[in-house]
Amino acid sequence: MYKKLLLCIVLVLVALILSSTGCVEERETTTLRIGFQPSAHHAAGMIAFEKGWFRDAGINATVAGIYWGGGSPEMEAMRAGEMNVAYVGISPAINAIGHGLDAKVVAAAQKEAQVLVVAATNGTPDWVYTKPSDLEGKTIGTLTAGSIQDVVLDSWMNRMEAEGRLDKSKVTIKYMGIGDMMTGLATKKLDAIYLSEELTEIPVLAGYGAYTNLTSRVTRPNHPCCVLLVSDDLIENHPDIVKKLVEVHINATEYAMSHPEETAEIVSDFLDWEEHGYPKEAILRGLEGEGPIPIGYDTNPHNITETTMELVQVHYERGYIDRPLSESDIFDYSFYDEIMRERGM
Amino acid sequence: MRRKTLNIIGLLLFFLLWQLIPMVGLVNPDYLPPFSDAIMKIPTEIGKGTLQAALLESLLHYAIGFGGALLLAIPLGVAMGRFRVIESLLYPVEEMVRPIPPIAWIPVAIIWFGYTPWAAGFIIFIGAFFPTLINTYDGVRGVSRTDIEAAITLGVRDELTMIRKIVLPASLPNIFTGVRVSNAAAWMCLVAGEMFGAGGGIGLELTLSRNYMDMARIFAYMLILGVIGLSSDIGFRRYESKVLRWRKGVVA
Amino acid sequence: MSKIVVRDLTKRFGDLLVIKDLSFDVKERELLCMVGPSGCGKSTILRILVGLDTDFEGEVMIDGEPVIGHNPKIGLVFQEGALFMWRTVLGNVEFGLEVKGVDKKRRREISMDAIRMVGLEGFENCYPHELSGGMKQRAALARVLVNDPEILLMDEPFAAVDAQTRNILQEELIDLWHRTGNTILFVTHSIDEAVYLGDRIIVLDRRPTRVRATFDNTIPRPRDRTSAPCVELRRKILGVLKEIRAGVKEDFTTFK
Repeated sequence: MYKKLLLCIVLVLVALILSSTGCVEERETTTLRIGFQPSAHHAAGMIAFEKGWFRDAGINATVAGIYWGGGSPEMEAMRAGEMNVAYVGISPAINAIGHGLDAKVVAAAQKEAQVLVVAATNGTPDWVYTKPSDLEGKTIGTLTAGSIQDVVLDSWMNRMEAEGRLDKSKVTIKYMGIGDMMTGLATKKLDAIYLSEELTEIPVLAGYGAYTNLTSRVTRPNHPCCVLLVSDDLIENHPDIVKKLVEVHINATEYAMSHPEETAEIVSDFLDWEEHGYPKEAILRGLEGEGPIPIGYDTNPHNITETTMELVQVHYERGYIDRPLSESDIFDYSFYDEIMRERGM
Repeated sequence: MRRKTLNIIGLLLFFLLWQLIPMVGLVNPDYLPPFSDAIMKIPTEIGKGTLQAALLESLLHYAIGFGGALLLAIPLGVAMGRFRVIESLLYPVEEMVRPIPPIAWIPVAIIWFGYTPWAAGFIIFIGAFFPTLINTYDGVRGVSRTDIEAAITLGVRDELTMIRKIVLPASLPNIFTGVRVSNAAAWMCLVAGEMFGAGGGIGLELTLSRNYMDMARIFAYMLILGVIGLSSDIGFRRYESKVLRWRKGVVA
Repeated sequence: MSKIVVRDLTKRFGDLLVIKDLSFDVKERELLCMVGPSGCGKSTILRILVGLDTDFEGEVMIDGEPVIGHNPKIGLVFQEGALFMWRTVLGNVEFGLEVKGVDKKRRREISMDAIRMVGLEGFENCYPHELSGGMKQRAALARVLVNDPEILLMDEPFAAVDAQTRNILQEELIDLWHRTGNTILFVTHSIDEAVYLGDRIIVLDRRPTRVRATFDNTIPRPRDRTSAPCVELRRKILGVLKEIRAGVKEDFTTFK
């Protein structure tokens, strides 16, 4: 009697599972569904949409989403099939690839740009940062766990602790999305935030944040930040489209570097920046490099190979990924290289 | 078959299916890691010290939220049950606040308490408060008039003695039911309350695992939560049957 | 001197007149039984006497003092005992002493005495749900007795018990009463019981109730229920009750 019951339950379960695996929609794979975060780091893709460069290149492209929560939710969505192309930080990409996402970095987007911003009142800092141990006893907000900000800050703090310059256990790190970081800093619930230009311009311009000299140059010089990530499916089945994508990305990045004002307009519109209550001027200042560290656009993936592999080691040691990824797990230089050859470079 | 045996068989079957289904590829193991992957994460977490730290933090939040809820809900429930005036005054406010899900209180908790254990405790408090309040109130209202009158004829004169010696013991079955429901609610709210990172705990580890895209680790912590939930409920039931020995029949 | 004096007691529940100009006495050390048709307010009278109901007109005096709230001289045994389910027999019995603040050792002693007196020795650590109907009533009696009440009000205490146990309990009550010498007012539906127990038997009228008839019972104890005098007295009382019922028919016709 019990055996029959058991058998029934097993059969039902099997049927359920089988039917659910067939449930994922067959998406049209020749449309690029591109994911973004709300930052001028990803301006290249935004410019391409605004100026119709995807259309001109014969590519179908749509915006898959804008992830205010950071790269980790964005990668979660990519794993769920919401996008096949992503502008994203290198760390979330490493974590995603390390946990089974089939995708490759085909180009870089930008490097560095991180800085510590302390809480301030009317532009005057509430406290001063001069050395690592000043962080002790402070609550610092940074982008959602797994982000490049999180990883760089964390590994820098470990190194400082190893050098005896910081007691890491006395520093409180809170992970959150961009909106919560701004609110937290403004309401003094956070003592500081560790985030990238141009987003850091927001609190500084409004007066509730003040810059320090703790920038990427100190925490991890030359580190990779945002990259262009493309699904293996696209790479294998539609390499022609991917090549066009990379070409558009390179052109758009060059445009962003030479047309800061227009780029600020485009980015602001794309992200509904002002509806979120943020000033357009923040983007412009970031693009023009008015803050302590510039955005650092760079499309060449080879420029970030070494620093990326260093980061992979950090990820592995911290247990974010179960095995150390290899260069070929992460990068596909073929598209960038071919374009550069054609340009005679 | 004895109940306990069936219980164990059910559990083992569940784990077996969980192991086999991803293993044979019926489900993508990246999305549902086999049971072994999840459970093997646990020693790693213990080795890192993460699990222990998270457990302690969660217990702290639970104590703040659940303890606070009981401390407030039981006396309030008794007061509302004994004094019509209090009940009438509080009823509309209570019915307005009760339907609001604890998650909605998260931004409020951050503003009021900052990123402290009190914020997470507050969310748990919201979830745990109402079941105990309502069940206590029901129990107190349901105390038989005969018991009250018998007490009067035996010399009880003041309200406090009546509450201590008659109302509370008579309402205890209802209060216990409320406490068990509150306990379950507390553990659910614990994850919500800890997710926004007020101060560590299992909920935070779940969020971090999600952000590092480590499905096995997510399931590992879910397992731990499940075990805690199950054992705490069993614990409450055991204590209840001990205290409520006087009831006819078996206290489930 | 009358222990209890009731003069012109009148009680309404809203518009319903339940008791009208009820007057009777209870003498010290007397065992007075009250019988009457259902719904005539017997329980209400007891509740007023014990102080649970203070909303009435007329005079109700205990030892010459008007009744205002619960008087510790009076104990009430409810129908169905009303034991506290969450306390053991001992816990129930010592309740009154606990409330008075008597220390534990003394409480135990007095309570065990009472428990022995009602024949429940050995069951003091049982919970009410483990007891039979008769045992519950005995426990309820012991619970009232520990407070040493001069007056014992009993509201159909043996109604829920089987006939044989009932007879035994009646005999035990007489024994107890002889030993403690308190005044008992015993309400019952059973004429047989009233005749067996009472020094006097009051028959109450239909609602609104007043005293319809009083019977003195001088049959010497221990009484034999089957003896001629007992049977005769029962017949007389039944006759009065029949009249009361007939009186209803009369009222009906005049009402038309």
